[in-house]
Amino acid sequence: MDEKEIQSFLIISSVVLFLLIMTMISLFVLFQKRKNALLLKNEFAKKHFEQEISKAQIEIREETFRNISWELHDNIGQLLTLAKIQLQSDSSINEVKGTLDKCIKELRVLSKLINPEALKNMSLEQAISDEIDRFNRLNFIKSQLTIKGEQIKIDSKIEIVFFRILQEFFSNTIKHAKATHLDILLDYQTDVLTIMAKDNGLGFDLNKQKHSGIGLTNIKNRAKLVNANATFISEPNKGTELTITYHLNNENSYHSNS
Amino acid sequence: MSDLYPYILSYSVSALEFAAAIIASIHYKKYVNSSEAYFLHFLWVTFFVDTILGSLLGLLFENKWLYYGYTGMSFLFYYWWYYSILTEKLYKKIIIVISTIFIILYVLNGINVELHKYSFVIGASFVLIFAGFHLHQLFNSDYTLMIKHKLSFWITTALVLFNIGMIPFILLSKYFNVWVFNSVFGIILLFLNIVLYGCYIIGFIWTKKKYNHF
Repeated sequence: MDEKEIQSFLIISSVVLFLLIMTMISLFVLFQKRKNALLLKNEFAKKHFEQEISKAQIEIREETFRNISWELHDNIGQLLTLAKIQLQSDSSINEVKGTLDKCIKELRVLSKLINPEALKNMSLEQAISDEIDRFNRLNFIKSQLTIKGEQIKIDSKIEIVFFRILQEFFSNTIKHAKATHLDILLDYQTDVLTIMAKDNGLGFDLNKQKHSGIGLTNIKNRAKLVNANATFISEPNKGTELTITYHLNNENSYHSNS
Repeated sequence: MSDLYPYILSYSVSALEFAAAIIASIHYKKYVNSSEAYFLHFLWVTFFVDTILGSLLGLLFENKWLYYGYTGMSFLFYYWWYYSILTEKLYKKIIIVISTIFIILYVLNGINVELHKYSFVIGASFVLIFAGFHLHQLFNSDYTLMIKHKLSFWITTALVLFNIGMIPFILLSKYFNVWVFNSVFGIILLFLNIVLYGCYIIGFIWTKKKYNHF
């Protein structure tokens, strides 16, 4: 090896080494930065998810309070007033007793329904079926729950979101739709859960509906939050149908993608 | 001793190729569902071409043509691989255009043995461009969080480091007018091969099945 060769060897190898090291460092720094940014973003998404769940929980609680207030006033209050009138008008003791018995029974049902311990451990099916019993008991609307397939336990946070969506749908049906029938279907297939709620009320034109647009978007966003899909089918005078589809196997990835 | 030197270097490279192919075979199950699966075949072909065909055919005629053929095939294989793993349409179109340009230049350069080196430099530059596309794609995905388990990242890193070293190596040795393949310059080649197959081997060992599905 002559001097010239040694010189060129040194130059070439240093250039090659320099380039390699620079590339490695830049790759490392770039990916490290990106990784931190992504971690922060995921952390933020997770927080957002938790916030939304809490919001749904608070809304469910508010709705429950509203229902209690309503029931105390319109159901139990009415029965007590009736008992008072019966006493004043000298009705038979048996009649008054009957009214008071009914009143106590209603009170017991109500107290059982709003027991926080019971609410905490409730499954989605139980919560829906209680809600439906209430509708039937108070003659709001004739309702029916059908469960198909073998029930699969899903994350309680996701159940909360689904229940809140349905609650919103029910309250719209009762308040605005003037419906007489409400059907709910929970269909558990091997990898998909389909929740369908259908009323026979006034319905609306999906394209024209502007004022309740926020409600619909809200429901859709809530569903998206847990990687579910919510779709509405409605036509004037033909009722409204809400379908939620949820893939049962993506439960673990819900907050990293939200 | 100095006569043996090129042989030792050449066998070391073969040994690296063999090790990478063996480790790729052992971990095959982890990446069988992705385009990376073809790297197993590619690594074995590399080993056979370099070691067995290289020394057998070398006895009959100049193996420059064998290596030239192998170079072309390997670049086209890399281009095809990037084509299959990149998701953006624009990138795919660019790969088709660039691959066509490469084929034309490759054939033109092929006529003159002196220009064979430039085919390598051109091909390697294109690999670097596509590797950049792929890194950009990885960069903008959630894979960044578990990048060390992603085989395509390791293959791309290997290709980037190898080619980024090879390009100046070939150009400079031409500039200084030294014949690199039969002297101590081989040590740089060996070093780059260690980087290349080292990255492959790390990638095959560290990768996890759930991250290799496209």
